Amino acid sequence: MRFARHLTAVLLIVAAVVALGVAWAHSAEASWLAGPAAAHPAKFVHAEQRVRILRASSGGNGPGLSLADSGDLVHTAVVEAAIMAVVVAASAVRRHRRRARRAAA
Amino acid sequence: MPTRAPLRAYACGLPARRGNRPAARCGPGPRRGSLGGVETTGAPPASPPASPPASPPGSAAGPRRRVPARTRLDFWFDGVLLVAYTLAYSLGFTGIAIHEWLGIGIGLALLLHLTLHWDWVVRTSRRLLRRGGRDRLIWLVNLALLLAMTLCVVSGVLISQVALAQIGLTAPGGPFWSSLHSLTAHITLGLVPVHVALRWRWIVSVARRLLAWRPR
Repeated sequence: MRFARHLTAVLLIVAAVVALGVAWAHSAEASWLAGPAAAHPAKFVHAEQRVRILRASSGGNGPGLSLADSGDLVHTAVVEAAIMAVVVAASAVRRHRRRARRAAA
Repeated sequence: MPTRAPLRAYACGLPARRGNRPAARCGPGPRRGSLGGVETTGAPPASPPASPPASPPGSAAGPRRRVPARTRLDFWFDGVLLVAYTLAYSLGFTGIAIHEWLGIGIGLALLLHLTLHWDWVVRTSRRLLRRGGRDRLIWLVNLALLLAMTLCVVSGVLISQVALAQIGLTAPGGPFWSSLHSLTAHITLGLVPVHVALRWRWIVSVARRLLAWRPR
């Protein structure tokens, strides 16, 4: 029961976020993101999406895993690891300083 | 049998009379008693630390401390989510079909993830509204991640090339949703590692207990 209540709350919040996204898509501000071509979606395929899809399909394995293109995976993992390292280091430094201040007080 | 002092995070689950930190400072999980009497993220339950040793006395590995089922669930579920997200982001590696199905799966898993941590969301939000709090940064990162991840998954579904077609549906697509998908994907790549790293002490402490490894 408790789980169902929490899930309902989560679904409501997610629905609100989706509604905001849909409202944005239909507002005049949509052109800020998609450019003036947003008014003619049928004639326009976003360049980056095309590039990514072409890149994915050129892996040789069709829709499946492309082990030859593991550079993409490595790149993602390296970016994640780098950001995590920065945050952990900053957290450790902050903690160290706080302890030092407490010890001095 | 190692005699080292218990890990700080582990001490969070011990009774206050033993001189440990109060539960309020021990991580984001709901208070004891919620969800079947176990702590969620950040703290183990008040059960005694004693448990049968997982390795012979004197070996490098210490005794395997009992990790609550809920903590184990959080740890492994979130770990799988992180791996799935990393794979899903690497579109060149997975190909479009796996990328799309993984994205849909991640969307459903995130609903569960948020539901499991709803107690933390409510408690931290109330605390922030009252007087600000220590978890403000984490709360803001999580809020941004909720917005970005939700929009990323939804826009991904709306520009789907394979997954929706496989179940007989047609995605409306459009440049707005494509751009939104790219933008939010980049934002999530920045926020997911921060989200994980802000809980690194909990992750390290649970991983040590799960793997029964402690530094000498």
